[in-house]
Amino acid sequence: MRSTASRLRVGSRSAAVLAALIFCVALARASTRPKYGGTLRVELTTHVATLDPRQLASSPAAALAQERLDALLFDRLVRFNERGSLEGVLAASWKSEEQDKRWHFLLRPNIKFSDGTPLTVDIVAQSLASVLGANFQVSSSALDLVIEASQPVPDLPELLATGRNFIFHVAADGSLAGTGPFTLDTWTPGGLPGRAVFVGNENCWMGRPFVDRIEVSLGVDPQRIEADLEFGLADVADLSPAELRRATQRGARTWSSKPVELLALVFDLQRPAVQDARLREAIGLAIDRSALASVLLQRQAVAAGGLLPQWISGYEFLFPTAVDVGGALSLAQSVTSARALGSPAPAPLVLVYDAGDAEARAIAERVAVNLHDAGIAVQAEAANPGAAPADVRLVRVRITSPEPRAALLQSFDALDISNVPSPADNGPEALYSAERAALADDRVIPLVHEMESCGLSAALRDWMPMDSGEWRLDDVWLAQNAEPSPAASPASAPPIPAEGGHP
Amino acid sequence: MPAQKSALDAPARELARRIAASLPGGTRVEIEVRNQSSLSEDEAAAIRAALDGELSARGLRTRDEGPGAASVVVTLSENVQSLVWVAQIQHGDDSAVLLQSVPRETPAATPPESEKIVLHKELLWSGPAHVLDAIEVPASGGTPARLLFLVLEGTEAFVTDAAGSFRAQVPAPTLRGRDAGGRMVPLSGESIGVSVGDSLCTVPLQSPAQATCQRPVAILRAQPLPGLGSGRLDAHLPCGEDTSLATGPGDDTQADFLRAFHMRGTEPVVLSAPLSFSGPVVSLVHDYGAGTAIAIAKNLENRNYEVYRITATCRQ
Repeated sequence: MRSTASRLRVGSRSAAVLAALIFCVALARASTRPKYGGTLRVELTTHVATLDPRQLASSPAAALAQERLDALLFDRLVRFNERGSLEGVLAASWKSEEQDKRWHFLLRPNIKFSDGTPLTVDIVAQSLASVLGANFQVSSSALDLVIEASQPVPDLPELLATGRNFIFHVAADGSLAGTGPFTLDTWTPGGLPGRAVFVGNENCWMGRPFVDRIEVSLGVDPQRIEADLEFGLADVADLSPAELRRATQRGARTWSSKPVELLALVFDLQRPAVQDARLREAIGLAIDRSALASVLLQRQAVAAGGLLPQWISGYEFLFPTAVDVGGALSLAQSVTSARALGSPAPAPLVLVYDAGDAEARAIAERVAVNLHDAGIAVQAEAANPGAAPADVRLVRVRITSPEPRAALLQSFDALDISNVPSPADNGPEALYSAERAALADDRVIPLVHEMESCGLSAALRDWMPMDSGEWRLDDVWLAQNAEPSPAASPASAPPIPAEGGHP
Repeated sequence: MPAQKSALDAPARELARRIAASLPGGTRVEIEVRNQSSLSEDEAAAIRAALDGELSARGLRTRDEGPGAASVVVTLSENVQSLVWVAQIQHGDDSAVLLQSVPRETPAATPPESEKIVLHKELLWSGPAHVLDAIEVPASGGTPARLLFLVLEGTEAFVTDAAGSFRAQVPAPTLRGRDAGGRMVPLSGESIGVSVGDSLCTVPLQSPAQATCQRPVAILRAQPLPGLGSGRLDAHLPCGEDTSLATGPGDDTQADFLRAFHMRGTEPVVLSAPLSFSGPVVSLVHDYGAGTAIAIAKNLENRNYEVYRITATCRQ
């Protein structure tokens, strides 16, 4: 084996360039080279009713699953990289004017949708106009895309990097085409399980993905997922905390994100029963968040004092999470003693959780037990049309942006926190000040930040999701046999393989 | 590492100045530093020393004992983008919280290990830019020797040096983010050749803005040799045998290493201990300068790209 570089000669420029560079490009990648081909099998517990970004999902879980599947078909203008910074996708550059009320996006040239239609500012404008809502006016000029708002939107690019803000082309028959790494081959969401098959987009502007196909099963029973992972019938599959623990005990390959989902109590201040701020503060003190995280959620969550998890804000530890039953009892008694003598005991507070969310039910019931210990009567009920009006709701907020300011504003929006001015800048002091103000009246009480988990097959390679939980299935590839993923640490460095190379 | 300590010294002193501004002059201060970040304990100690020094210089008493002191707890924290330093100040009934964002710096290279051949690495550069290739250009015609990088940034690709004084724009590869690759080779003392995406460019060293490119060209892919995979490089190490370097068998999610080996028949024989990296070696090419090879690794902890010069010594 001779050095490719040793063959280089300095001489005739053009000949040398071609020869040398072609040889050198042959060594373009040092770590294990990805292999093309194969079918990636994905199993999700959630049902997804539509892949149309214009259609709102029925639940946060369905929205997340829909977003993951849409990301196979469609690109956004921008996205977050692994450092939490923005990078252009379909947008080559962007700038704002008029105090961030007007934004200009210059598109990357020479991109086509999977149906062959060239990407134009008109199509992008139509896409975003249909998903951004009435607060934004989207138009196109000869050169770029223009998005205007009546109020300054300093983090519009961050907003466009998440959620349903995909770019698509609507064909004459109403079907949608994207510029993403896959195209849709089969879509039968109503089956048991539902099924979607995606095939690699050979003409994708970013290069075709490594796997040929992705077969997605929707609404799969968790027990079925455990079995499929164990028998090698799935490559990527949802795992709940309990299933993750069992899979880990079996020695299965698993992955957990950073804490990306906030579970919080949100009070309805129109309800007289929860209008006393001392009662809400007592509730915040009485809840044992650590037990929720470590016992109920099997250490797949961390106690939350703030809206943003520590890894996004860097300052969440400033918000207390310790349980203080004595303090809660004292506050609750002060509320009770303030009532008129002879008035009847108040009815239990009604705590409502998502009827289809077993985990939320367990948390709501544990919260009710904690509050009972502090002398506060609470009745946990699943949300349904016949349920009593909610005094307080248990909500989930998925934080999709790793950029602290955008993430904070996203949580404000999801929790309907509108009485706090937007942070003056992106610095931690301004963000902490805004977050502290948002939590000051205890209308929102954070409980835990939960991770999300997957089981992975032994054949899966280059599984490199973002910290925020965004999968990048176009970057993964499949080893041709199912040997375990090799450990490359020097401590366990295996001998250089005698033959066969990498799996 | 001195460079890191000095980089953290200025923000530490800035935080101390802000703490001092929130307290009356002459106040006795009890300061505690808690490290909840990826900084080493040595770095935390250096920050503590800088805080102490600046608070003293501002007239606060950090070493006296006695009642009535202000309590200052400085927590060295971090988020996905930067270090976050938090000072919680309690003085009597008054309290304040100061927060400060501090850019991350880069850890140093680790020492070598020994076997028959000892591989060494020297960190030449580290930063967030996606470096596709690096090449050392020797001094020529009054131009000093310098290290050039082929960088992918946003939607642009260009050749630059560490100071940013050299810049040649080249077409960005369309396979960005999936299988991006680019190479630079010396053509003569006056120019380098650059291959990126489906373009071939010639970049004059004296006038980089006059780079010329042609496209498209067919790009040939090397077939992996049996038993060795794609992460290898013939290195001609000074030990009397045809030696090569090989990366580890992991993928881009794993820490990597380099080892020297030679082929005996069809079997590889390992000649060195592994030289470890804190992430995958994404590029391994010949060093046209003083070393044996240039390795570009992606640090999995701080996500920086790191350019290393690889050298070897023989222990016969």
